[in-house]
Amino acid sequence: MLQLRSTPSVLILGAAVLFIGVAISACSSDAGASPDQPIAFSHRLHVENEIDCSYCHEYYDRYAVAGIPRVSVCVDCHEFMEPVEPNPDLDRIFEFADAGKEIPWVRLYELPQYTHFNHKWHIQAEVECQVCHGDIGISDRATRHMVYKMDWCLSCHESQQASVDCVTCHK
Amino acid sequence: MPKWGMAIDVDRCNGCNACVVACRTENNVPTAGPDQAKIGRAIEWLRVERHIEGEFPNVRVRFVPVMCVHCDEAPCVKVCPVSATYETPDGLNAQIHPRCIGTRACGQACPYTVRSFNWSEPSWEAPLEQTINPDVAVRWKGIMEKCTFCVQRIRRTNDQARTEEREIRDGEVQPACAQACPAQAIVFGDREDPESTVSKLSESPRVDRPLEELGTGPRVFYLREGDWGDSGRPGSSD
Repeated sequence: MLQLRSTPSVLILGAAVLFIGVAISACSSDAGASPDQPIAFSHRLHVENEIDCSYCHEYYDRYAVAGIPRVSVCVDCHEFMEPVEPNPDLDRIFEFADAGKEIPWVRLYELPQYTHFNHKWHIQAEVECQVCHGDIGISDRATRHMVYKMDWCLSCHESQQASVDCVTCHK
Repeated sequence: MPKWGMAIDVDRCNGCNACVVACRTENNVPTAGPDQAKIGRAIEWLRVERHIEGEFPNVRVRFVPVMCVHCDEAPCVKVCPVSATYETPDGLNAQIHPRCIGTRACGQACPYTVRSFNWSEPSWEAPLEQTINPDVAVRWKGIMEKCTFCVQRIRRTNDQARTEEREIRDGEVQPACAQACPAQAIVFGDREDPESTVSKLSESPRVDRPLEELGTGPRVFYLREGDWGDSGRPGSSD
């Protein structure tokens, strides 16, 4: 009798532990996250139209950060383009531009504050964008390719004989 | 690869503390407040010690900036159980904050007493939080920290030299303390380059390497006229 009465509570406890475990793992590992952006931007469309990554991410080979484009970069092209069909997302670009505001893009990648990363040296070492950013160039919705972990960085640094000194990446 | 070192001319130092302010600003060193400082919980990467020499009426005060001397044989490196502090190839004793578990063994081992423990989460009163340097991590409660020789500045200069495909020039890397010193008492450079200012200064008869007798091999040395009295050693201020 005692065993029968305790079974449901064990099950409930087990389910609770499982639920909390799943919830924690979902929070701590968010590879594949695809936050809503203020404008439905398709990297695929732009790549198919032969726009180089550097046109929008203009600092990618010169500075630590690749750069998120200003709204004027969007307007530079889109003001001379007639949409095939009405597109509210395109209208929104001009709304931001007319209001003198930048598009509040949601960042996909953010490294811990005690590390630093420099795009420039990785581009000079001929690391392809896809190695870290996955197939963003062929997707319609920007999705986080992976959550960067130190062993992943180190495995590449070791195989490429790049510096593995701690202060190279830690600050 | 350069091997970094520093010379501090205490005959030039007038105790203005500009180096201390520059260091705190550059490296996001938080202020502890008077209550915490009173119980020895202030965080200091660099302090200016005051040494009083002579007897009244022939008295003079010497000011000695003291920071991590980045030992060749660093006691802190030897005692850290998780290798959170280690020697870099260019001769710095680096501190890797995420690896530190806060045993404070390094603080105990350091004969120069230049390591500080974060007893609380750092905070800056508005608008001082806007002065936080993004090139330097903001440390958190429960870990040790110390002078890094402004490794972020070394890295930046290294990047610049690499871009221009040249070697780093003598005097090109300036830690915040050296840059701020109005008396130019602090000189930083490659101690293995015989032409560098630091190398030349290291041959001066005024050189004193602090607590050298302990076998630590300090990479920071002082220049001072006359002999060091017991009162004139770092850590023995009034």
